[in-house]
Amino acid sequence: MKGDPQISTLTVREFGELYERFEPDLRRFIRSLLPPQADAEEVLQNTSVVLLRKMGHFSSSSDPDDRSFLRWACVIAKYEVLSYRKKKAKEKLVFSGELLDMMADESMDEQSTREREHAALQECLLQLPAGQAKMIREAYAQGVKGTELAKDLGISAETFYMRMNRMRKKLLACVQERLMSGSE
Amino acid sequence: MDSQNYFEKLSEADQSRIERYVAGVLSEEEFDVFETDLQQRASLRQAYRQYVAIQAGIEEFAQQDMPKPAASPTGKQLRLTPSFALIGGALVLAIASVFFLLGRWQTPAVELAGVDEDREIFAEGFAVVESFNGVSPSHPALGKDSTLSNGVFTLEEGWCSIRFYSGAMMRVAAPASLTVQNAWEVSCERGDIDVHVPPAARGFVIHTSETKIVDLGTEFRLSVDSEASQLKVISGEVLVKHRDEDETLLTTGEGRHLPLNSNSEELTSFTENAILSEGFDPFSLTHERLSYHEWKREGRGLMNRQDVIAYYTFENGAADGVIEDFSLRGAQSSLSQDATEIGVETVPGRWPSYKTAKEFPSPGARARLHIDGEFSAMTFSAWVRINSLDRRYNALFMGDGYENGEPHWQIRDDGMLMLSFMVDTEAPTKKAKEGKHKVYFSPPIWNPSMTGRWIHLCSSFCPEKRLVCHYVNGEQVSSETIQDTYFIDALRIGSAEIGNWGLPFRRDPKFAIRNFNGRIGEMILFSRGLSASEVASLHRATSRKKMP
Repeated sequence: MKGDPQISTLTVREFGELYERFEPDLRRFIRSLLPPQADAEEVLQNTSVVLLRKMGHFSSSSDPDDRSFLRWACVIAKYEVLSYRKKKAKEKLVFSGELLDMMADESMDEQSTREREHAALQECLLQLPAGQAKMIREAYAQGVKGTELAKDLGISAETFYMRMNRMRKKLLACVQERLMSGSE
Repeated sequence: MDSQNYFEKLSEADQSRIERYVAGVLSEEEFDVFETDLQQRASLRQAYRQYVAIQAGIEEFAQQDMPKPAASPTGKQLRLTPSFALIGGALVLAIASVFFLLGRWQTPAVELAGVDEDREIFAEGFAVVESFNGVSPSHPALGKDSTLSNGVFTLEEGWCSIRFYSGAMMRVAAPASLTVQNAWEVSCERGDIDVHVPPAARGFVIHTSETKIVDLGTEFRLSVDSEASQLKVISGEVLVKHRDEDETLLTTGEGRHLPLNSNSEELTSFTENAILSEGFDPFSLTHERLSYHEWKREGRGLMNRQDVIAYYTFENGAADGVIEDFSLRGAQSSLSQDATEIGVETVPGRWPSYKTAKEFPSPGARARLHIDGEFSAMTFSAWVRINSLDRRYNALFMGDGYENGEPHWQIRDDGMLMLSFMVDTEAPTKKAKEGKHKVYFSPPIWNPSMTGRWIHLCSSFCPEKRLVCHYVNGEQVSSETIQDTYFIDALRIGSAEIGNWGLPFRRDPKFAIRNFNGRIGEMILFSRGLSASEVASLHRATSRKKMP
């Protein structure tokens, strides 16, 4: 998406505001292609740098609901994921470029669904009993490995993952329930 | 596009592949197939993306209120990765300013309020523990009827109820940290507590870092964390003094939100602690955890018993492929009594979220072990969940070669529990070519209607009393006398197997397949013939308990 000379380009502050607004969506987009959180964060960071460097090419719009920034950011993120993949290709379990390309395009079409799911998920999470929420916080604290936490809790890694999978399924069901009731 | 539960629509195998891929535990082979499938199946891709998004959303939620590391130019938002190093300094500054404008630099987390160190010294305790189910780092040996003196009391897991000598009763749910000052006064640094003050204990005081709560004969709940306390009066009256505010009298149903460093507000909502409120949220794992914890606690007793030959809990231990023996005897012997898994699968146990069990799915599946020594009597105890009795004989615990004094503990396809020891391999009979032995049967104790139900099986062989007994769920189902001709009191185990029997007799190369179709969740071998009452209490100690 090249900048249109008729429309003004972004100031650093405007860029910052747009980035701030869409960063969670962009992060989710990258995660869908690159699940490990640390990898996704690195790509997000690389992407943010490229976006800033290229912000002159992006045409700002006065419409606050305009999602073209996100679309533009996703395209750049896709290439960042692909180039990150090349670096990691020697490592095992990295999707092929072809598959990533296909997934990225499909992901972009699903952005609004993801956004609604995300909002519903946050509501479901907020309704968790305090103990449950605490468990999630501990389990997903940054830098904590499942295996380590399982060890701390005195349970096997398998049990730990089993527990988390169960919790995740319940949350997914809650999300769907909310979206269904919301759409009626 | 509408949102649907794409993930739920997948087969369990597909769900598991996605879960394991995202957890980073998919094998290379599985990954190749997974990738091809993803390329070919739009529905799998859709479900995968949905799953990853949910996972990311949960992480976001989990991390949003977490204290973050102190501000630093190499902090989370602007780690200097190689890509940054290539960019000009001006750009780095520009980016830094963007994030600065957005207020991303984090300040260090607020320190927890310090513990009140001003304690009186008393010779005797101030409170007694009425019930306890958890882990207390400050009082590792704490149990029912322990006394608490002045000082810090921490609870890392579970719950406990404490009766102060003033008469005040307090229930505490982990994680909690309290400082007992005396029978009338306690500080709460952290935790969910529930206080019941009878008329005799009116005036019982609870402090938090900025609040003093005086109980005027009532019941109330208090939840304290590093940022605020929440107080809710269930019945009666409570006097609250927060910071430099005036004292407030709260009555039944009223509550206060008491934030650190700012003024109190009316309590709009109060999240009940699942343990302290009556009944349990079906979504909560707390109840299961407590019950599991209770089993662990009982297990510590079994680990230290002198009459336990071996104690296998079937939980995943430190090493893969090993079923650890937790007995004192095993710990003290130079030879490990751990069992080695061969083709054994790990499956959810009696506390599915917490404990594993083992399955022996193929004819080759087994757990092999070796136990030295000679015993004058033996008792076998196991928790099992039988899927079906596929084989003529379904192995529980089998001595390898069935040499003299070695046991065979198994279940016949008609549901009868069997225990036998080889008496004399040199005296084969017409019926038993492998040697003289006698199988002691129970009446049928299992039928297919019991599929999927966990049961406790126990069989004792007691030469001194000349008695062989079988028990199911702690109740005796049979007893049989040991005849002179089959008398043996030099019992051995040697090399043996759990869940199968695959080694041939010494003189007969043929061997039958006896892999157990179901789960084994615990197995204990004793060097005594346990009495009926001992078996009943063993059943109680090792069973899944209903928690209050």
